[in-house]
Amino acid sequence: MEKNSKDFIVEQIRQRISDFKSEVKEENFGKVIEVSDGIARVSGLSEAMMSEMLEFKTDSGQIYGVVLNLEEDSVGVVILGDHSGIKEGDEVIALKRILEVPVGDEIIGRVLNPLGAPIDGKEAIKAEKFYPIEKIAPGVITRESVNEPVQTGIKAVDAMIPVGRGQRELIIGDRQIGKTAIAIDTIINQKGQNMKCIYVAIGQKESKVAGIVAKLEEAGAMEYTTVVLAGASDPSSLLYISPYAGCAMAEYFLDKGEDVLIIYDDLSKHAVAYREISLLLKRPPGREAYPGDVFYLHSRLLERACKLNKDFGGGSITALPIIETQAGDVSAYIPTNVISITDGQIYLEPDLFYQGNRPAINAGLSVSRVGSSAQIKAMKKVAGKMRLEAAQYRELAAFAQFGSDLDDETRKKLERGKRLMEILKQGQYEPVDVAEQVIIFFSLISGLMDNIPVDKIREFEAGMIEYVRDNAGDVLKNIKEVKVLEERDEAKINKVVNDYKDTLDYLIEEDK
Amino acid sequence: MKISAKQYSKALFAEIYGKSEEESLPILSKFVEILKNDNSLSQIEKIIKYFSSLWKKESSLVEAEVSTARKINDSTRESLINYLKKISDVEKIQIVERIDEKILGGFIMKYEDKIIDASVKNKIKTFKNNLIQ
Repeated sequence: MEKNSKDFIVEQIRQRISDFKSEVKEENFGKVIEVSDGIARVSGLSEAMMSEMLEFKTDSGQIYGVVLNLEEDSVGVVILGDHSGIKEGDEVIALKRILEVPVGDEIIGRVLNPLGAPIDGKEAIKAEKFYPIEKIAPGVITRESVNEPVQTGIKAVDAMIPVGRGQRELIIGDRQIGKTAIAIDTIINQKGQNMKCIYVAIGQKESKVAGIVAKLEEAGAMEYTTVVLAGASDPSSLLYISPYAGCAMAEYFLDKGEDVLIIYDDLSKHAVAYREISLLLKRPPGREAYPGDVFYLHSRLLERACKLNKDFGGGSITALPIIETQAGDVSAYIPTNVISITDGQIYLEPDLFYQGNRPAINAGLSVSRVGSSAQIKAMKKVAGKMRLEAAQYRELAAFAQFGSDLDDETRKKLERGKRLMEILKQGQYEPVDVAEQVIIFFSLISGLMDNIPVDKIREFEAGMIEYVRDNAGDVLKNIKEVKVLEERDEAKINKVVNDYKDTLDYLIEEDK
Repeated sequence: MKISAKQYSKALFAEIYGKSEEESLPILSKFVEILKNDNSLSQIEKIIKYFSSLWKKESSLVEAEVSTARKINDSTRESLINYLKKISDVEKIQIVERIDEKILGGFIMKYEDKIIDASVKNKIKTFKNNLIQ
C-alpha cells in the first residue's frame, strides 16, 4: 500500500514533467518612472488595458498593480499591496488580464482580503473560477421587480421599512449608533432563509472585524457568510477595490440562481480611499475634493444589486450599503449621492439612541421605495395599520406637549403609541422570527397590550412569545407556511394572549 | 500658449530630416536661439528624448537589448536579428549586447516596450510554479 501510493505520486510528477511545455511569449513591459503613496507612473506598456493587472518585478519579489489611468506616454497604476519595495526603473509586465478574484463555494465561512487571499490563517482558497471585479450590471431584460422579502429580524425594519431580495437599502447615521449592528443582526437572522451573506469591511478596525467574525461564528452564521476585509491599515488601493471584489464573489452565487445579501461597511470610507487615489493620480478635485466620477463609483457598484427573473436563474443580490454621516449631516456630498442611488434608507438618529430607543431608527425619515411588495401577506396586514399608528403618534406626541387636557381618543392614541415605541425596541444579536413579529404586532394593534403598563411591555412581549410558542405553535407554523394570517388564527392568538394575561399581576385595571 | 516639448521636437524633426549635417547645424543653433527666447531651455532634455524616438520611428530603426549568459557568436546574432525583423516589421535593427550570468542560459530580448524572456532562469521558474500547483 505504502509503496503503491509512493509510486502513484512519482507517476503523477513524471506525468507533469512530461506534460510541461515551456513557451516563450512576447510580453509588454514598461519601467517605473515615479512612485508615490500607493501610486506608480509607468512608461512604455503601450498595449495596457484599463484595469489590467500589472506585475512589478522588484528585488523582494513580485507586487501586483492595476491600471487606472491611460495617458499619452505613461500609465497611472495603483499598487495592490506594499509599495515600499518598488524603485524607479523597476520592470513592469502587463499580465493581459483584468483584475479578478477567486469565487466559488470554498469562500463561504472565510475571511479574505480584497484579492481573495485568506487572512484567517486557514488553508489557501483553491478556486477554479475567477470573476472580474468590475462588471456591467444586469440589464432590464434580465430583471424583475422585487417581490420576496429579506427577513432582517429587526422588528422596526421588517414592519415599517421592509427590505426585499434584490433591493438596495442604505443604512445611514452617525458613528457609534448601531449601523453595523443592524447589518450583523440581519446576517444572523438569515440562518435557514436560503441566503448567502457577504460582509465587506472597508477601512474598518481589524479588532472590530475580529469581534464581528467571532460573533457570527458564535451565532452559527459563518456557515453561509464570507467576510471581505480591507482594514484601516491596508493601502487605499485595496479599500478601493474591496466592494467590487465582494460583489464579484456575490455574482458567482447569483449566477447559480441563489440569493445573496451583501453589506458594504462603509461606503464613506470607500469614497475617501478613492479620493486619495484620484488626487494622487492628479485628477481634478470637485466638491469636497472628491473627483468628478465619485457618483459613478457608487452607482455602478450598487446597480449590480438585482433581482433576476426566472429565465435568468431567478437569483438576487440584496445590497445594504452603510454610510457614516458627520454630526447628522445627511446633505453632505456622499450621503446625498448614495441616498439617491439606493431604493430607500434606514436613518439612525443619535437623539433616539440616547433616549434608549435601540435600534435608533427614525421611522419618519426612513423609507423603503420597494414598500409592502417586500412583505409576506401576514405582515402586510398588521404592519399597514402599525405604520399609520406610528405616524399618528409622532404627530400627536409633538402636539400633546403643549396641553394637558386631551380628549379620550387622543389619549388612547398616545398610550397606544407609547406601547408601539416600546415594542420596536430590541436588543442587539436578538433577531425575531417573522411569524413571532406578526403575533406581537397583531396583539398591539388589536388592543391586547393596552392594559399592560408601558414599562412592562418588553417583559410582557418576551413572556407572551414564550407562551404562544408553547400553546399555539401551530399558528406560528401556519403563518410561516402559508404566509397569511387567517381569521381562525387571529381568534386563536386572541385567546392565547388573553390566557397569558390572566396569569399576570401587573395589568392596569380598567375604569379606575 | 506654451509650446510643449513634443511640438518643439516635431517641428525640429520636420526641419532637419533628410538634410545633410552642414545644412542642419545652422538650423540647430537657430532652434536653440528660439528656445532661449521662449524661456524653454529647461525642456531640452524632453525634446531630445522625443526627437530621438521620432528619428528612430521615421528611419524604421529599432534598438534592441539582448541579455545573454555568455557572449553570443555571429550566427546566433544574425538569427536573432532576422527573427526580430520578422516580428517587429522594421528594416534596421541595432543590437545592444549585455552579459548577465544570472539568467543561466538562453536570452532576454527587449525592444520598444516588448520583452521576450527565453532565459533558462525564467523556464526554471515557470516549471517550478507548474510543479507546485
